[in-house]
Amino acid sequence: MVVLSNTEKVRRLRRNIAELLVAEAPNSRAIQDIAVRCGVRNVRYPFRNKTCVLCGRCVRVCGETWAAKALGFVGRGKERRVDFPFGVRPSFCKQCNTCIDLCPMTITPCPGPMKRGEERLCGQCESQLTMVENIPDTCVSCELGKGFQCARRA
Amino acid sequence: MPTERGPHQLIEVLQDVQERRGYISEDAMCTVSETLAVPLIEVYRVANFYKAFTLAPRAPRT
Repeated sequence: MVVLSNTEKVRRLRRNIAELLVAEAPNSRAIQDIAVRCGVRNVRYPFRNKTCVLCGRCVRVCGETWAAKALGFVGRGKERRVDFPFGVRPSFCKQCNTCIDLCPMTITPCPGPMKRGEERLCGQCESQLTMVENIPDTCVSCELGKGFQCARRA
Repeated sequence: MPTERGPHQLIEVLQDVQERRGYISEDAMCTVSETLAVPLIEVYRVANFYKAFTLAPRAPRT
């Protein structure tokens, strides 16, 4: 069996998904970064400007790294959300804030936060794209924190 | 509660609670979580997921 992971078709699908992600939550540097890397040129969908894309990093770090399991996915389909049990932060949550540190939505795009009505594809890193392509990164789903350039700089 | 206790009993136990009490309360979820050694968030997630489980007592029909 031969698995092809970088054909034109795969790249096009990746671009479409990235475009949908930007439309869902443009107010995140990580998502704008992913869009640039996937080659998104314009966004053909109305912007939603959500505060959560259900990436699950907070759930995974709380459950796998800290084993506190205070956060989890609740609900299904459109109603799916990340929440505490009964919507209340439990006592065994030690407020380590790792969930906040890892959340891609907590880092605003480089030009600044986008208010409603002024959302757009940022595209500011496009000039640095060739530089970024030469850096080998591990796949996003392998290790928490690696795979997208969502680093905080002091 | 069944004689052997474990996380694989979660749905079955929740079904029993639903049948006996008519709904699954917060306290019931906490007890189930402790007794079956299932994280509370997992009990909450499963209770919210299935439509067979109600989380609030139903108003009596008049």
